[in-house]
This record gives sequence, structure tokens and C-alpha cells, in this order.
Amino acid sequence: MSYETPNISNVIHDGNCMEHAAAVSLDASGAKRLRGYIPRNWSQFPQGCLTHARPFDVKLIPRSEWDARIEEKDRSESSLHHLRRRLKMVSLDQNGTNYCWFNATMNCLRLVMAYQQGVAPDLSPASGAAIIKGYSNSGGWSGEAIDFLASEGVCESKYWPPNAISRQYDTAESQANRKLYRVTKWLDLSPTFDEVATGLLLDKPVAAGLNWWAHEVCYLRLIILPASVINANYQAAKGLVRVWGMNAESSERYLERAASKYGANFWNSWGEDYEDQGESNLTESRATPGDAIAAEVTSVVHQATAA
Amino acid sequence: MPAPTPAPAPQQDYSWLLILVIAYLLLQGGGGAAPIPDPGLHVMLVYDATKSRDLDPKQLSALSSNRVPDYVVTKQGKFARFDISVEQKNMDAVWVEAMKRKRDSLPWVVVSNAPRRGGVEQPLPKTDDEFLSLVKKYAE
Repeated sequence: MSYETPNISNVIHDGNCMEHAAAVSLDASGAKRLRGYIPRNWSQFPQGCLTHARPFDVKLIPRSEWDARIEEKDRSESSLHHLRRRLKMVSLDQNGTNYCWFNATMNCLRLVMAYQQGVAPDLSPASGAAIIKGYSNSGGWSGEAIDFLASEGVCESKYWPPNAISRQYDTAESQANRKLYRVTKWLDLSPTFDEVATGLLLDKPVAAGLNWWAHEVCYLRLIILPASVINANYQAAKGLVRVWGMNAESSERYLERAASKYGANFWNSWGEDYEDQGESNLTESRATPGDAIAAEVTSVVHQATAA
Repeated sequence: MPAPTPAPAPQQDYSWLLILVIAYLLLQGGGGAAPIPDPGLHVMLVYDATKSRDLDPKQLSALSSNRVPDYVVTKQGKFARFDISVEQKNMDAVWVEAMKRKRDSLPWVVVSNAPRRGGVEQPLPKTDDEFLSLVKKYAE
């Protein structure tokens, strides 16, 4: 029997994605969960145009190696998912803001800091997103976030509440604190699942914008889906390509992706009560992003600060 | 009449010193001197993020190990994992000094437990298990 990633219970696939989106649109208190991803305009912002991110230049890991690599990461519990769970890193909650694009990208920063030094400082997404958007509660994409996260950084929540869209927190103290939390090396991915997978297999957290959900999330690891999910996804996809009226070539390409056994485990920014401690999973056909970036290196936290 | 042979000078017994040196080396854990002079267990891993693609998957598990930092924490030690290009502006002095030390290759690991257990500087072991064993050798 071929390998499946253990304990994968919730998977969003072609057959249930809209249902899932509707079902999770309210949080436990009945408040609307906002999203805020605005798809990247590729003609205006082609790959490589970002000042602080180099185009993805890693040789792709061939699919023939994925199974063994996934199994090895699961066995050794060395993925970013395991890192996050080990350090009990709390899920962000973008509550009331349209800043998913910044939350997802800032989660990349948090994960790399945790990877480097085992620290999980409590950081404020609004301390970056609100400034970028001129204090409006507006959507965006990760390219906007990474330029700011590389040059300015974000401050701790004690200087700026996580979702506060207010100039009053942009003080000398919060500005000084912001310089401590920056990402210094980014990768700008082309929107393919193979680049995403290669990044994840090399433990680079990926912020992925999903056009179908108008939402951006942070990918933690590549997974192998249960057979029942692959089948459900494929059957639903066959119906979708008919409804969409795709031509034969496009249908074939889409169905090939829908039959894939691979998926992505992601970290949302809707608090700990979303699915499995803030995480869920997507099939390859749902996880193939509209745009994606990956973080490699961040600034360093002084031990005294980390404590 | 032959001149009397002078009596040989009494030999100094230095064996106690030899015993002391051996005992000291044994207490150091049988390894080299601690590469990081600060007391306590310190484990630092240095790697090149742009080259992690070249590593064998098992060695990649060692590089991204969660078990080793977990173990170091249980021993009240300190663990850090830095890309070769990392900014050192806000880094603890102990890591800044450790980053200055000579490395023969990447990924490279420094395990240190001053003053008594010594330490080692070497290429990252090939598996997560071997990495953990190496750290345990200098921690316990």
C-alpha cells in the first residue's frame, strides 16, 4: 500500500470547496471571517520585479522523489507543521480586517524565526498592513507585504495591537521595534504547484494567494492525500470541467491535476478554532496558487528579547 | 683511588600530574575543548539556504530537526540554526563569536558544553538520529 500522510482529516477539494468556504465564513461567535486577497497582476508585476525577492531559482525536485521525501519528513517530524506544533505557535486571527495577504506573509516570517532560533514572538500584522494601505481596511497580495517586511518589518503586539488600523500606534517605540523583525531573503515563485512543493520540501514557508477563495494562506508542508479524497476530488473535477465548458486540452490538464495524490497543509489566519488548530489541507487542484512567495532568512532576535 | 660516584639525585615523581591531566580530559567528555567558552550546552548549525536542495533528504531532516532543539531545551541549553548570510546586527555575542570560527564545509555544526564536557565542530551528521546522538554525547 502506498504511503499517505497520517492524520489528514480535513481536506478542501473540488467537491467541497465552495461548501467549505460558506461553512467557515463565520467564526464561533458568529462574526464574519474576512479574507482580502487581491490577485497579483502578472503583467504589471512579473516574476522578478520585486525589489526584495529573487525569482525562484531552486532546481525543481522531481515528482518521482516527492513520496520518499514526504515520508522522511513525516517520520523525522522535521516539517514546518511539526515545528509550529512543537513550539505551540498560536494561529493569527485577522479578525475584522482584510489583511489575509499580510497575515499569511507574516506567518512566513514567524516560521523562519522559529526555525532559526526556536522563538515565536507575538507580532502585529496591522503594524505593517495598515501602513501599506494608508490605514484603510483593504485587500492586497504578498508582493506588497514582502517589500515592507524586508525593509521596515513588523513590531510586537505590545506596541501595536494585532488588528488595530490606527495611526496612533505608529510611534517612535513601535518603529524602533519593527526593525527587529524583518525577512531578509525571499523567493518569488511562479504560480505552479511544483515550485510550491519544492519550497515546502526544503522547509521554506510559502505564502500562497488562492484566486478561487480570494484568500491568502501560509503553506506548511507537502502531503499525500487519502485515496478517498483523491477520488472525490477527481469525480467533482469531471463535473466542473463540463460546467466550465473547458476545451479538451484544458480539461485534460485540469483533470490530471485533479487526480494528483499531493496536497498542501496550510495555516490560516482565522484563529485557533479554525479546523485543526488553525490548519487545514488542500488538494493540488485547489492549492495551485495565483501567486506565491517563500521566505528563507530573517533578522535575528536577541536572546534577551526572545525570552 | 677512584673518585666517589655522586649519588643520583632523587627522581621527582610527576605521575600525579599525569593522572590529573587524564582525569581532566576524561571530565571533558573525551572530546576536544569546548569551542564556545560560555558555560552550558550550545548547539549552532550553519547552513546555506540556497544549497539545501543539494542535501540528501535524511541530512535535510537533520538540518531541519525538531528533536535536537527540543532536546537542547530540555538540557537548559541554547540552539541556533543560521543561514550563512544571516544579519548579525542583533545576534547574541555568543553566536557572533561562534559564527567567526573556521568551517570546512556547510552545513556545519558546533556543539559546545563548557567548562566540563568539551565540544566538537564538524560537518552536520547525515541523519537526524546521528545529530541527536552527537549532541547527547556532549550534553550528558
